Amino acid sequence: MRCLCYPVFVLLLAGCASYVGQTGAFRGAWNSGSIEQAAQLATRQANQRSESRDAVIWFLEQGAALRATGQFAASNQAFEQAENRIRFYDRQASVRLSKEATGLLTNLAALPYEGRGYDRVMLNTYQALNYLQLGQADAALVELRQAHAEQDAEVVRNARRIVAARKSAGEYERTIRRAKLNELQPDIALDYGAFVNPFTDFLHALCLWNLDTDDRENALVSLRRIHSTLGGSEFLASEIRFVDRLLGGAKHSDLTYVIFETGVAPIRREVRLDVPLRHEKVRYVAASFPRLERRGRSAPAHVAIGETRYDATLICNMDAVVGRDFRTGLPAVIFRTLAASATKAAVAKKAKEESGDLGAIAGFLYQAAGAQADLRTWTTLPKEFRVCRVETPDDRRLTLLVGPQKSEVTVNTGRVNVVCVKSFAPGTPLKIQQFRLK
Amino acid sequence: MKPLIKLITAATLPALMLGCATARYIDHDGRDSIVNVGQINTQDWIRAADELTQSLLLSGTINSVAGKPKVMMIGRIKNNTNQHIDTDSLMKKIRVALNKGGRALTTTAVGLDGPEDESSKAVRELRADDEFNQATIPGKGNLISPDYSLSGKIIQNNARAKRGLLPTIKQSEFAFQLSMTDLKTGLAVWEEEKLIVKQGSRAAVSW
Repeated sequence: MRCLCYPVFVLLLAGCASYVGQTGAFRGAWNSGSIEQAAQLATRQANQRSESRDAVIWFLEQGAALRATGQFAASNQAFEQAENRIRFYDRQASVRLSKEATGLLTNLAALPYEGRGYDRVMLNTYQALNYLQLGQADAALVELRQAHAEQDAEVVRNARRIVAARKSAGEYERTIRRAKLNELQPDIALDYGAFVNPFTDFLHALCLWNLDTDDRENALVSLRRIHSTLGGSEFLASEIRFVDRLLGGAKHSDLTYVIFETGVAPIRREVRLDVPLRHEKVRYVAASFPRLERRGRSAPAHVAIGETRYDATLICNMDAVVGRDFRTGLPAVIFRTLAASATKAAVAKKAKEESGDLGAIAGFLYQAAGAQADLRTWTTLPKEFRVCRVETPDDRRLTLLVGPQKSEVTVNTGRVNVVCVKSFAPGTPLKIQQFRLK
Repeated sequence: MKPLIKLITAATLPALMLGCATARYIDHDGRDSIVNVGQINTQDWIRAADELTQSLLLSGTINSVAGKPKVMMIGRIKNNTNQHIDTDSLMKKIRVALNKGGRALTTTAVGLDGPEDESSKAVRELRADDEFNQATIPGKGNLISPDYSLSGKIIQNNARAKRGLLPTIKQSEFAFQLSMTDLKTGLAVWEEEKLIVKQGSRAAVSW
């Protein structure tokens, strides 16, 4: 009778398709620039999975897709649902150990997706951009302040996650600590620091000196911080001088900031490793881990006015942001994965001892089906954010260039305007949105 | 004896722990306030504002003439720290103290980036509106131009040192610098700097 339980459990586990599999059609539509279709697919999935462990990730995908189609209010609703779920999980932090125990018996993909550090920051950033499109400047500033706070709060949360993962490893904790898995470390060319997103800081600074009369000086704090993070970019040095003059009372001509969102952020692929544990019960385990995989190449972006071209400066490389987040969270992932694999190996061994060959088969299937890495990641995030500031020409016409893609826009009236340009696959048109800041 | 001690400890420890975790009201400038080394806490704003106000009042710069308070505008307060702060936390306290002492009033109708309060301007835009009793709308020439402007800068300097096996000690120094300019002459008629220096290895309550 007991043997029958194993295959049933195995079947239940096998029903969990990986996130890469789940998102295939959606990613295909998104990457080819079929954003309407992508938004429909994401909305369908988000509705179907609104109560599931994947709810947060699908609300994030839905929010980004709806934003791209220009449905800003609906996009913010999706982001709010993601945010509410994330807060719910945060409130449950005190019972995290029992959830860790669930992870030990199944796999990490079976745990609810609670939102990674950069998800939380980008969630607030996109909400802010949506509110700016909707003309709700105060709400945008609230979101940006929250994004700012999230960057600090995530450092504390990550430390807690590592402690919880270590505790959950129980008897395997000491042996796992000795395991070295350097092949999982992402290659990070740029290191902005833990959970820092320079684009969010830049947008916050832009909004502060344009919108908020009380907090305007803080724009310079943010700009100085990004300048130092990015290693002394000339564009940011000039922006600091420029904003400093404006805050001192200098006047300026009409300005347009063009924000380019290009490419796609990395995804996670599964890699299976044999790890010697040297534990008395389990000598070694075969475990599945996530590994970051970059997608596409960096694309230069420019703004042209007549014959003059202005280069857009790289403000945030999301590969670096995601990579840093991945690296920071890796100790917890390794602890949880190896502890889960060791626990399952011990269960399988016991099944074999108690039920002979049938138990051995069930144990093998249980280990195989349960060994699934958590590959969930926000796939609609861009690869890069680039920014260019130009004086708005008299005819207000700008030519926008991303690699070989080209498009024109007539900037709305206003002292300071923002044009958001999103590029997809080469050959697909650029998606252009704009709003007035001042 | 030992079981008894264990029993007492088990009974009292949770109660003590709960006492620490419970939210409560404290004096905002009292010894119970939390002190962060790298941040400006509420008690720092209060202390800086009090000392700067005292210095300004004692300097005699803004003595009212025939009981008529001077008019002051708020200039730029530069934030040269590495954190987002609301400089109003400082300026409001100084404004309130000067206002209550009858020495100076602050105009909200003039500011570097336009008026702090747009209402003075908005109400004058009703002059052409027949729906309003025109006698209740302020006439021309009533707004008062300021005599002085108050401007300044907040600076942060950080340092850290390791002493043997002890945790790294962090030190933050916040300098609150203010100047008052006579707008007729452009001369700085009062200047002051107050330093607040904090040291520690982590956030603490100030007792």
